[in-house]
Amino acid sequence: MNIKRFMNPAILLFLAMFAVLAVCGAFMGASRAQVFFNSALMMIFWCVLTLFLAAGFFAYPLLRKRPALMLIHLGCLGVLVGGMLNSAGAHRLIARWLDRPAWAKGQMLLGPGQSSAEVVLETEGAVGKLPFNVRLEETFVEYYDKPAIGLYFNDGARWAIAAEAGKEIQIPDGRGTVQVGAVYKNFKMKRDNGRMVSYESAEPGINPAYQLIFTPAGGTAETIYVFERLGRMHDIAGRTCRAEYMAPRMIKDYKSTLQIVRDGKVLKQTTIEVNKPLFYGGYHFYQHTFAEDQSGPVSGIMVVSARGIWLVFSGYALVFAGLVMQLGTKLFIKRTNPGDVKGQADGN
Amino acid sequence: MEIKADMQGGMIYAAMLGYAAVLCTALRYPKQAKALFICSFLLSAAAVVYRWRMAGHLPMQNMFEVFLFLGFCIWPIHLFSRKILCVAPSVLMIIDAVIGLIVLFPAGFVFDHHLQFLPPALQCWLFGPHVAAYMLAYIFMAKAAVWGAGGLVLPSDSRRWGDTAAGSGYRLIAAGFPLLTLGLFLGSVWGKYAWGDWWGWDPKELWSLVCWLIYALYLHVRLVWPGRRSMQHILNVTGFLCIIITLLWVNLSKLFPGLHNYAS
Ligand code: HEM
Repeated sequence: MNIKRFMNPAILLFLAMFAVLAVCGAFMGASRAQVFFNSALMMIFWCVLTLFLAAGFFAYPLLRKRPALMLIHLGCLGVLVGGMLNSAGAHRLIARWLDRPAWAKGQMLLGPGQSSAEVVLETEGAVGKLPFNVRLEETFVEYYDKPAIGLYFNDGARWAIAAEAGKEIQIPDGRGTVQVGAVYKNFKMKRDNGRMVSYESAEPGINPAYQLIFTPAGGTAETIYVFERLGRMHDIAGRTCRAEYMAPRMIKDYKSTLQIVRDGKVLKQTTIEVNKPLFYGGYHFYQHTFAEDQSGPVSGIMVVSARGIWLVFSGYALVFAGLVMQLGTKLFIKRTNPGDVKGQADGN
Repeated sequence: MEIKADMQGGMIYAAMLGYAAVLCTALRYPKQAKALFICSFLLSAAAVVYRWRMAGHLPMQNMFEVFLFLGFCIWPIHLFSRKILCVAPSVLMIIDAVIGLIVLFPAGFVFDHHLQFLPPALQCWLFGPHVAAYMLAYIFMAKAAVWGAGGLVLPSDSRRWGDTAAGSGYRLIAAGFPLLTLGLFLGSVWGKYAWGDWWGWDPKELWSLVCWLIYALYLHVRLVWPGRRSMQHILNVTGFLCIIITLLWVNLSKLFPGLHNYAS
């Protein structure tokens, strides 16, 4: 009885304190809040809250007897314990006290064909090691829109055509016709019988380009080469229009095909994308960043430890199930007495 | 203020007119009011379906779509509330029509409705149910706050009124709280899929946690101090004020930079 007299207001105090701390955190912004809620002081708060919730099961037989209440409060306990296990602090403690390799989060930067077991951790450039290698097969971006070639006329008019080989197309206002004649992945030119001709080179290198055949109204056809990587070309005297590559801009998804390799054997291969991580060996691998430099694309893979995460999600599921049982049943009973005064008395 | 002079806007404004008409008729002509209410629901449902078809994805990705969806939830929740509350249907209709008008106003006049491409992180099947669970919960909590505010500003010696305000508020929160929890749960799973973190300490996440904690506090206060009705009403209304902050302030202000800002 006495313990309940102490615990009843303490429950309210804890919930209120937690709410106030969360409001403070909201004003800090995400990164500062993260540091704050992982600080030593807050560690104490999390531990005391967890112990208090656990003590509730001893102090209140109802929490053990009523399945719904048990699920709700066990679930909260699960989320708290799982969350603590999943935190960077817990990983540090495990590494220090149990002398086991443990880290919460890090990044790998891989180009196509590269492989590594090393993960750059968030803390002061430290490096974590995976018990297997991760190899990047390929990485690419998917767009909503398609690449196009823009035609800019000297009088200010503009027109665009899909950047793929196709039929001759009429340009409005009687400006003539245009056609993408050929598409090159690695464009090169050579002299053939005294004439310069374009060809697709098999040598290493990338130089995407498009051959555009532009026929002005009443004029003769002329060939214009448009390069993806060379940016804006200068206007050519006498020409009525300039052509420029228009890269797609509406990104739909970033994807990377990863292989898990151990002792030269590929154990798993999968294509990850934003919202579709790979789970292997206690770690989640996420498509995190994507960049393109001189040597080609570079995929940023975020590696996150899965320690405690299943406990968090099971906890959530228990809370939800318990709430549906506990509160759902109260919705349809004793409807004639909206004050539900007896229900309150029962609760105590 | 943005007037939407197109089909989408037409549907929203017609639904709002319907709700306004419900307000004028509910007490005197409840049957006609009910018919108008159903018409408003059908119009807001049509507006959601129309948007869905135009956008090619579940329309819950930005503020315009979220408020459109809120407008659509009013009637189903109204029907449900009639089952769980012991209150005259006309009174419920008036409350719900006001809420319907309030939630459709931003969709009709404030938020931009131009179609946008979905950024990669939002292309997850969990996102729709996550937002839907929250929106349903918000409507329940809005209705609960009406009873909470009523209990606070219309104190009466009549035990019947006190019981009705407290009981209705509790039942609506009892319906909304599991949904609020589901929204939090699905949001965490989605966060884990999209960003690798089930919890990111983002201001919007923290405000939604605040809402959840305040309603948990309300449920416990009700058990620990059953007689302190004003305290329960204050928590009920505070919980809803925090919902407004979660829904609007974080998205609209530049005060809290965070992950969820894309939704503005
Ligand atoms: C801080 C530690 C907590 C303790 C020690 C605790 C303890 C209790 C106790 C003793 C009851 C009363 C059971 C009864 O008399 O009927 C109760 C009810 C309840 N608790 Fe907690 N609780 C805690 C935190 C939470 C949290 C975080 C939640 C959030 C989901 C929660 C949700 C509930 C619900 C929904 C009820 C039932 C309310 C009702 O039926 O109206 N509790 N809790």
